[in-house]
Amino acid sequence: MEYLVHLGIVLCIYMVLSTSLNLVAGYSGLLSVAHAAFYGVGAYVVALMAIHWHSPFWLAIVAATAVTGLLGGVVGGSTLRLRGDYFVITTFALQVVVFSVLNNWVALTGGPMGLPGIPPPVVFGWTVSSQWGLLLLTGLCCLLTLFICRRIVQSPLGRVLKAIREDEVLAQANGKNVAAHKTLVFVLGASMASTAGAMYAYYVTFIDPTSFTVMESILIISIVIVGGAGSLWGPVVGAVVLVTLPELLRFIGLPSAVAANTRQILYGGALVAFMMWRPQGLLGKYAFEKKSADT
Amino acid sequence: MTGQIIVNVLLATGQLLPIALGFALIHRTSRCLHFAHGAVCVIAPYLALTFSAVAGFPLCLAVVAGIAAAAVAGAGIEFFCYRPMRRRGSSSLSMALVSLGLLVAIQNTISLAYGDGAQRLRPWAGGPGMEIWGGRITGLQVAAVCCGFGCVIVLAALERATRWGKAIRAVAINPNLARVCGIESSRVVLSAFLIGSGLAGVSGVWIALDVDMMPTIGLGALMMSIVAAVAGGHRTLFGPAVSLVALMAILQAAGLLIGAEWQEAVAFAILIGVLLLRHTWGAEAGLRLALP
Repeated sequence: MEYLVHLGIVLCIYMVLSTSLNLVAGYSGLLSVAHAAFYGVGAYVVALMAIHWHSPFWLAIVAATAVTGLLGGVVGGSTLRLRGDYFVITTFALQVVVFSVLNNWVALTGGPMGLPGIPPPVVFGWTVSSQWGLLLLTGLCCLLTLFICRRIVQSPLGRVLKAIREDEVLAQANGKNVAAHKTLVFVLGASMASTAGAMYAYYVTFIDPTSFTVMESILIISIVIVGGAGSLWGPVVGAVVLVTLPELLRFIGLPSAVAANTRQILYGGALVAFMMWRPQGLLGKYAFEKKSADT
Repeated sequence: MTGQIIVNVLLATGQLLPIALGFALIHRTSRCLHFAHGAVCVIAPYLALTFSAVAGFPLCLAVVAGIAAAAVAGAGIEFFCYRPMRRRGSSSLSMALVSLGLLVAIQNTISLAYGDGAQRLRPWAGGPGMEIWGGRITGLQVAAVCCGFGCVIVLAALERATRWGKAIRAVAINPNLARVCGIESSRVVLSAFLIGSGLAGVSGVWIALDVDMMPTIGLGALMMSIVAAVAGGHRTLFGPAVSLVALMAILQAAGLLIGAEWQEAVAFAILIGVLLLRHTWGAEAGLRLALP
């Protein structure tokens, strides 16, 4: 049972991550390879606040979303005119820079040794230290993220984002402020990813930079692609498929090192297979097939 | 001190020049952000290790076989993955996603087959080396530097003087016009993948011969290649080569000033700066020429 609860928590974290990336990549067409960076920044902000200042849960979450939102705003705002390949390269570079900062700023982040001993979250006086409590908390966080995304994509903002994705010039010609919308969606995506980071930090009670590498970003992208970009439920289905199916490897008696590599091969293989034969994913509506002006 | 810095810059440049040139060659002809190039680079030293340790090949022959295998692997990726997608009219973004998947899958396959630990390709121990300009360098490192810069000269000569080179330039500048002029662009792109991947294998082998190899060494080399290729532009092969020399010099200086552990962050901060400044200065037209 403990294992199933663990699986549920991990699943919720990846649902939040993939849903937030879907907002940026699936609905707006901005393929970011830096999502694990925002996830990591959120986790570190919460961990630092919890360890050094014993911050309450809500304050830590607000601080994490504010810091990553600011970072997302700076990145989104400065890379507005980059499209296609150049946007991918820039976010790839950002991912490497953030990882390097997390790994090398030893005084603040603990460097490769990470930050151990993150205390459990205290929500309205309730110390959430049990696995069930954390499952409830991450589940609520996941539902809230899905609710916010649903409201966004069904609102006029969502329609503008889709218009920008399909034809940026046409959206601009129709009087839409493309720059402001792109920045806004990047801020929202980054902030949502930071809440997943916060949940991860509270759950594992120890974080180090290896959880936030470019490989983690590729896994989140794979989840969005497999489930289907541009669909609300696509990333949810993608997370279920890519988080639970590789867990079956545990039950066929593979050593943990072999299982870890096999899991990564499955993620990479799934990304390749879906992009080649079913780029819209299982439930998706967008396939990254549109040729951008620069590419 | 200065002598050792110069030696370090030359060595790092020499080791990375082949993979950077390979990345630039593939990028300018196929318009594909070939992230899997980093994984292809690692295939060569690991297969060379297998040919040498298991099949009993002499090291030279094993290395050549490893590089050939990397070249075939790269061409295979183009033939089985990218070409069908290009025919279907897929965007370069779709191909970049496929290449990310391939990077993860190939790197982990190598980890699975050989383990994550460090392995040594060269059977002999490294000596103290010779002294040049006050810095120390081994014979193997001199060979890596000569090979790296030799690759630039040979590739530039091939590009200028041969039909293949002209076809490469034609496809890089305008693939549609090249097709109208009778150049079969799919074959040109395949040849670019074959040669570019072989070059990546050369870098992989030099890195593995210099220090111990791990399945992740290709990712670091790929990152520097991307910075060099983007900063140097794609119109000539000298651009990435010159920018790689400049990048390595900056990284050495950064290593001295703020610590070697920050070199990667500095390299990618430079990349972000270059991309943003190019757009601000309106150099987008130049990039479009390189990546129509």
